[in-house]
Amino acid sequence: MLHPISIAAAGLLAAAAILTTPDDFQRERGRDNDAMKDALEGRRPPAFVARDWKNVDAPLSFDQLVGQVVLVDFWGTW
Amino acid sequence: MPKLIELAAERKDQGLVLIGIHTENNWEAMAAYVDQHGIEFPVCVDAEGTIAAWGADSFPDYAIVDRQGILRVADLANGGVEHAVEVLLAEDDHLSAALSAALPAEGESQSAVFEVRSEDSVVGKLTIGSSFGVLDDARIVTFAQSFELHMPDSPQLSLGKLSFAGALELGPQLTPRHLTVEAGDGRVEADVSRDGPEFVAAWGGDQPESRFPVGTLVDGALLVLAPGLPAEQGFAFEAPLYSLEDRELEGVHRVENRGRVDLELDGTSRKAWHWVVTDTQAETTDVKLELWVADGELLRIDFDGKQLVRVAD
Repeated sequence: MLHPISIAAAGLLAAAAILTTPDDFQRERGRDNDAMKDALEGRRPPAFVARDWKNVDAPLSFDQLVGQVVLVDFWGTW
Repeated sequence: MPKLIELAAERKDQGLVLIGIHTENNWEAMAAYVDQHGIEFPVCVDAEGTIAAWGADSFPDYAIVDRQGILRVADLANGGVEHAVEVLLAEDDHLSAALSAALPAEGESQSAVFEVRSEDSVVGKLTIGSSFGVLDDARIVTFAQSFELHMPDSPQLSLGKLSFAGALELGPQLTPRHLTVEAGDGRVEADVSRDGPEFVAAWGGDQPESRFPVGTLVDGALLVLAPGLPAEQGFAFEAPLYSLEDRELEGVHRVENRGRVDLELDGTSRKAWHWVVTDTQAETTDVKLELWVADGELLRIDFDGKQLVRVAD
């Protein structure tokens, strides 16, 4: 018996195509790790491991934030 | 920073979440800074090199993730933050859009008829109805397909009618955003919720609907495509196969793309993607399905030692 999931997967994969959309976002580039930055885009972000959260009851995870736009600000105090 | 605080407050209701992640260096100063400047958005301290992994290398640096959970810009220019926020907030939540568009209208579907041939004689007939749509940013494909397989001399191989519909997210990880499979009285849905993908099974009749997780997108999803998108040389991935009735792990589902090959069909040669799908199950024989696809069209299917050849639309 052909497993239904097999057929489903086969059908899905048959349909898959690759298309990319250009955007007009301004990027900071020109340092050593440009290629790494480019490679990070267009996929789920890397792990977000953080401690000492403030202004939130529990640590946030990106799974919870699907449906919203998340701007991450990497900052320091000197 | 004041400008950012303003932006976070103004756009919160439209769905903007701002997270500040502070360097490990001098982290003790963060709490006082947050109080002093009246920062109300969530902040935290980097652990385990998150900042470097996200490609940030000068401070402040920004990255932005869209409503689908996709990292759209790593190291966004400081002057481009507002524009990117505006553009991404204006994008639909494509998951919702995909779900509502997952079942295209009847008239949009196309069907293909295959003859099942065994040693040159016709032993059955397969009808595949398909309908595909691509949402406007080309990130999500919607589909509806139905299969009807009848093999009069081998009733155990006849499928009757099976249909499925849903949405599939394209990208480095090919993941189902929504999937519904219907066969007879039963219905199974894979629902990728905020808490991870899960099956919703309606067994038909008076039996209650049940929901159970199938794992996370990374470690046990219905489908996870690890090494990247289809390349000329092909790729493969495996996913666990669950028995829907007893909810136990049943075997391994392996999908392999062997790249583009020359397929001889009715005397002509066509370049086609060659897919091999294998289900290895503990107590039953392996199921092997081979498909050849060109330009989104299924040209030939082999399974169980039989060949299916497309005969007419």
